[in-house]
Amino acid sequence: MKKSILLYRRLLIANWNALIEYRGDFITQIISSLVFSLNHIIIVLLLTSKVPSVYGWSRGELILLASTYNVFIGIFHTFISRNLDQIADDIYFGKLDYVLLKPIDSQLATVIWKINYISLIRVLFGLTLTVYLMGTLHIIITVPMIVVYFFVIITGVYMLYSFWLPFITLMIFNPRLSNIVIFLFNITNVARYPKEMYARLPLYIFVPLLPLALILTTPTKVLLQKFTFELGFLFFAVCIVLGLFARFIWKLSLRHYTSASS
Amino acid sequence: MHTYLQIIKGTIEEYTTYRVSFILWRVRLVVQLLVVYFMWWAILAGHQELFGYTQGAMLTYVLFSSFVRPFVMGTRTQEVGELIRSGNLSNYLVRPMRFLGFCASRDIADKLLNVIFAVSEIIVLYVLLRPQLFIQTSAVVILLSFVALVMGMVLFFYFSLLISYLGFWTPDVWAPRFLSFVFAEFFTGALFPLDILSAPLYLVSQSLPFYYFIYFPLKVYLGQLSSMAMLQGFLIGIVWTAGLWALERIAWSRGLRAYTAEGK
Repeated sequence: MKKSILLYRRLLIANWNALIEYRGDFITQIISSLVFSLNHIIIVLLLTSKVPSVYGWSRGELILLASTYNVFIGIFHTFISRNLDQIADDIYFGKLDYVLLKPIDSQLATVIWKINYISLIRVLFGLTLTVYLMGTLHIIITVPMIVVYFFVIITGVYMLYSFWLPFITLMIFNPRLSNIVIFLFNITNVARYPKEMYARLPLYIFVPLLPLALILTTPTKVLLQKFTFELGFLFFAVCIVLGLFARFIWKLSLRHYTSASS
Repeated sequence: MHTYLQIIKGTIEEYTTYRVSFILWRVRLVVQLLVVYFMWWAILAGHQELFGYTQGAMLTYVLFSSFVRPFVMGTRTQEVGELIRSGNLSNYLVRPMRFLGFCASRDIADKLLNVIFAVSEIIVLYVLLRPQLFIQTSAVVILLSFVALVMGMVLFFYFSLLISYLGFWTPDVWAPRFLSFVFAEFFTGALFPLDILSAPLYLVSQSLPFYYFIYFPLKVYLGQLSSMAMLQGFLIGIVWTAGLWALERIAWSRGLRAYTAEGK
């Protein structure tokens, strides 16, 4: 355990050093992150300037959803997305062997190497805005609420990871899917909007998008004190099913993996 | 000319070689369109008119922007930054063709494919979703909107090239390109018509080149601009095009002097 902690500490330092190596690039990335955080908030403000509610969500609630998106996606991009992008590259170039040979679980090995510190800016921005909005919506923040909120966010991050991983593993069967990560980034944008917006879609479109529709709506409803047993059950049921499915697909795919040297 | 035609043909073949990747690309664009479509559908539900647009007019704008966007903003010029950084630009400098012509040919191929598939996707979505679409019947307006489209296309081409030319002076072009993408998302009118912005912000957007990428051609098509506004738009657009062309020429000649093929 101590060894793992020391190893992860070294990874954290190595990632930080890589980030600050080019100072100009570091500053531009910070600015880009801030601008991107603001972009969606401004769009929501603009679009709801003359509409009191959209699908039962008031303006304040939609902005709270947008700020939760910043927290959520910030955590996802900090710890997960760059690693999955790297795995896609490793599969394409046949370098996944180096990951598989490590003395740790192969699925865990897909998410520990890269840490994108810049995305923490989005997390900070999102949290600051969330606290501010809770004040304007006159909702009292309690410790149990914070605990449940972060628990649901982290579970949502795991759900999104489990949604992404089967797509990434498709590259083992077809290494030419070079734009799969960009595809996933775009699809993830679906999560920005309330679940109710997608309920009108045909079932064959709504069901695959359900995890994305849930990952943000659920933690936001925790904050709005509208978290119901049914929503919680659906959320955790989808998370467990997706997690097991992702694990199964990953293990199945590895049996078909042929590296560049094989 | 034959050289550039071959480049167009080769670029199209490049896209269609990896068919699954190509399909994923199109699915991604359709999903993006559907998200924006349903967002506006939800916002306008229960309202006769909002921001000066009926639901039909807004959904027409959204659907047609999915045609205009890839036509104007579909580009391969983002690869130029990587070519400069890796030193592979040298391979193209020694070839018996103009590098600008090469980039333009690649872009034409990209836009051709985009247009063909965007039209098919819009037809399929129209059959599935049945929105109230506005179809322009005036030949003059259609011609003017085509001219505005071409102007937007040329403007974006030079704009994107300029961002890529930053590679002559900085090792990473990603961040400036990403920033420009974020501004473009907001100020091109891809997500919403720019006239829903407040008056000062709308005025600012009119003076930026992004205004002429998507919003201006669409407004011309929808026939929602007065003759004066149209003339003003075309004049400012031409000024921007000429300005960006001149900047591109200067950046290219200075960039070549700074270019050291470091990656090689």
